Amino acid sequence: MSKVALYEHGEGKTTLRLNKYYKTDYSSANFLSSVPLGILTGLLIGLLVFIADTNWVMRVYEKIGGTGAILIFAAGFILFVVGYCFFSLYMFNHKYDNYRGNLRTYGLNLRRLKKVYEEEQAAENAANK
Amino acid sequence: MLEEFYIAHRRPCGYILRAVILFVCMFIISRYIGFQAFISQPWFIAILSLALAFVPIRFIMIAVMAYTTVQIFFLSYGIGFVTGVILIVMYLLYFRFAGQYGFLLMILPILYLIKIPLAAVLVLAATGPAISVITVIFGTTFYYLIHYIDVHAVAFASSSGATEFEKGEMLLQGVFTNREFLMMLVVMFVVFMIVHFVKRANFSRSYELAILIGTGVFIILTVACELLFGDITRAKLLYYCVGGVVSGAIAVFLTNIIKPLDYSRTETVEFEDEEYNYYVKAVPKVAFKTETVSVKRINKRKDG
Repeated sequence: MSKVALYEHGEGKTTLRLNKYYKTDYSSANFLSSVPLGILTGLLIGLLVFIADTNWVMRVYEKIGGTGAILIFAAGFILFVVGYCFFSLYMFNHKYDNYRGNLRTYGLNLRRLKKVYEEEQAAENAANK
Repeated sequence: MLEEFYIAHRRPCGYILRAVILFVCMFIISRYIGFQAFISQPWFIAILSLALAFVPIRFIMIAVMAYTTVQIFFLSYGIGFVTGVILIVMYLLYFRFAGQYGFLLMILPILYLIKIPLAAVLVLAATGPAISVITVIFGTTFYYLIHYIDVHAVAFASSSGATEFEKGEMLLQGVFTNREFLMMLVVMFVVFMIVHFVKRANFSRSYELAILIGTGVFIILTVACELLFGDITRAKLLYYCVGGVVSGAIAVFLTNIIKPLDYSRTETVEFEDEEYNYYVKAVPKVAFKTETVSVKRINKRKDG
């Protein structure tokens, strides 16, 4: 019982929420939430590149023309966002797998606790009879 | 004694430790880039640290990032904006997924200041997953960003002709073409990976050996890089050699002494020989210390 209580007040505060989801649901939900954040991160990195070396950006623009430059930057941006989303998928899968082991132990302890309660209840009932 | 005290007062110990680390971190940031007098005062930092000690680690990290950005905004809007964007990108790229390593982002600048950043890298490589190398990269970037702004603060403040945009450009180009920063980034990455893969070797004392090899590689690489690409001085040589050895000793101490204090950790090992698969579960004895077993004796009823 103390193990169950310790877990619920410690790591369980975070991990028990995961118990509501299947792995695929959990990962997919986080994958979807990563799309806007990936776009934001890509835009911010693009902004940093632009600030860091405006001359380079302008040189690319002059060398291959407006459409070509836009296409290249857009392709880089899309690649980054896709990479970011898959990286987040990997990280959330990894997180889920890490916690699942502890959740299994927690479930096992809960079942054990239930069994103890049932045995005690049965003993009590027998004594009352 | 220490273990029992930690077990008995685990929660308050955690809060105190958080508050102390936060205070030291923000105090160092304020000494480096304390451009706003009011929020750089020790009493303000102490109150802020105490308040932040009770919030989750992710919010603590965001608060430290915000504190840094606000300080820099008082130097220059352009520099502050660029710093803020870099810190947001760092958060979105990694700490969003692994908030538990956020503390390292705060500890690394402290360790860089006292010349033993390798200690954190070795401990993390020996105890954490391979992906946490990103924490080391971002921690190093964070330190060199603050350091660069500190060193060039007068130049940024006095360059009245430059626009805020140009100041941001100067910062980015200055930091990301800094030879020492790039060298440290590569060295730390290589050391982390070597330690991480050596400690996974299946023999006893692999942690110690990994740390020893990591320390050696750090000293050799840094000295070699300085000899090849830079100008090695006596102070730098001392920093790399003595700092490296001290870091290695601290890392061995932490992985051997502090880690077993994690009394709740139950370790499992799986291995096999020709005939069997072995699944070993190691439960620390200290976990059983608090358990009190009461044995109830029921005497046999005497009939008649």
